[in-house]
Amino acid sequence: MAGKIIKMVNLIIEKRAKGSEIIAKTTKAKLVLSGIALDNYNETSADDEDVLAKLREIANNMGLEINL
Amino acid sequence: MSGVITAYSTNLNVNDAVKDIKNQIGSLDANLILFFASSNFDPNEISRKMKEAFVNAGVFGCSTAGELVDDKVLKNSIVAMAFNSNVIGDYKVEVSANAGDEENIARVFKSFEEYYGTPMLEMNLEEYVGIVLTDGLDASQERLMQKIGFLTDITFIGGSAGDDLKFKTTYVYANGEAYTGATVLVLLKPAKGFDIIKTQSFNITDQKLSVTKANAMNREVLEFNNKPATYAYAEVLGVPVADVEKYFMSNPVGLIIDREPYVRSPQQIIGDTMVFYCNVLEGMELSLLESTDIIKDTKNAVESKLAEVESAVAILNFHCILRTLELEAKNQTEEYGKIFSKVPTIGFSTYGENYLGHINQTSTMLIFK
Repeated sequence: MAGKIIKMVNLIIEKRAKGSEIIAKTTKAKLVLSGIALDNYNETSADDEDVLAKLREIANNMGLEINL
Repeated sequence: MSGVITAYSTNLNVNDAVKDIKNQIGSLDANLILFFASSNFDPNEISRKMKEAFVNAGVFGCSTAGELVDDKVLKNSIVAMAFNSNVIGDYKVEVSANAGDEENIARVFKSFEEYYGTPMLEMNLEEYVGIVLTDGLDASQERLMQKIGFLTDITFIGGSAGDDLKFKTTYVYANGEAYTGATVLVLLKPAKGFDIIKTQSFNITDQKLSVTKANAMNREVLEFNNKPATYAYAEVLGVPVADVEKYFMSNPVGLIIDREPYVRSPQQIIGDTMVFYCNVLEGMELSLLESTDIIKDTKNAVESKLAEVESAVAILNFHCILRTLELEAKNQTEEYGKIFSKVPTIGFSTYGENYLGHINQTSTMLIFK
């Protein structure tokens, strides 16, 4: 399977930012500072379970419900 | 009167220094006092005396590795900024007694929510800003900033307390008490707004270092690009491994976000492992940086922001100790101070700056309108 990481990243940013460009930008920065190398992932990237687990944890810590 | 007064004293007697500060602040109806004091002042005494001098104001601050006030760069001094309600409309000071304890941050944020009557996630980003001063030696800054970032979108900006390069104990101060291993968090509602500058003096090179093995808790990188860290770093620098420590200050690495580096500065080498002044995690893609001119870059950053803001009345400058050391080595300290001659400024030489995360080798500033 592929593309799940970028989908989850986009969902986290979208749900947190709720349309705010500033919050979208800072959320992206927070993900990178948490060790998610965003530039490495696109729709064809393999679904690395370690990265997905890290993203689930971040989403949980942000109080976001992400269902993929 | 703008509603802000800066003050400083180089008198090392606590009573005399605080009297000096009090006299300079004079009759301003201050509601909030922020101070940065050399670690050569007794921490409990300086915090208590500052509170006693300003009983009607909130008083907070931290120990330093050097102080900044207006156009001066000082050592062994105390610098202070007094605000009245024309600048700081409201504030709430809280202490997290254990800097790394995430539950404490949640408790502090609950207190902010109760005080302002608004959930942290619903606060207007342009109405509120936070200051975070934290222990400089307990290596908890990343966890702290990550937790803050998870719980709110409000900007929290600040620095890690210093101890004049003794690397033994640092202190944060709040309302007459001194704390070590702790964090002071202050949520401000500036009366007329605020702005932020994060400036660092580095070019981003094309040389990449992927963190393939790290020990995050100890801020250690064991491998870059699947090679021993020191070898990979030496390789991208194009220098012998034995020489790499000479390049730490001029060639740190950066996490690049929106074409801007978030600097991670190497501290030392243990075997083939590189130890950093902040956390570097497995999976991070870093770029090798090369230093540029601190004076020119800071001047440009400050002048362009002041032109944009127009009505700046105060600057708080969280200035990395590594930049202070570089300026001292180049005999440019005085020139750096002069950049801030137009707007009342205080700041200190930090053991790391806090903005979105924990960062190194920046001047990170909060500007009040």
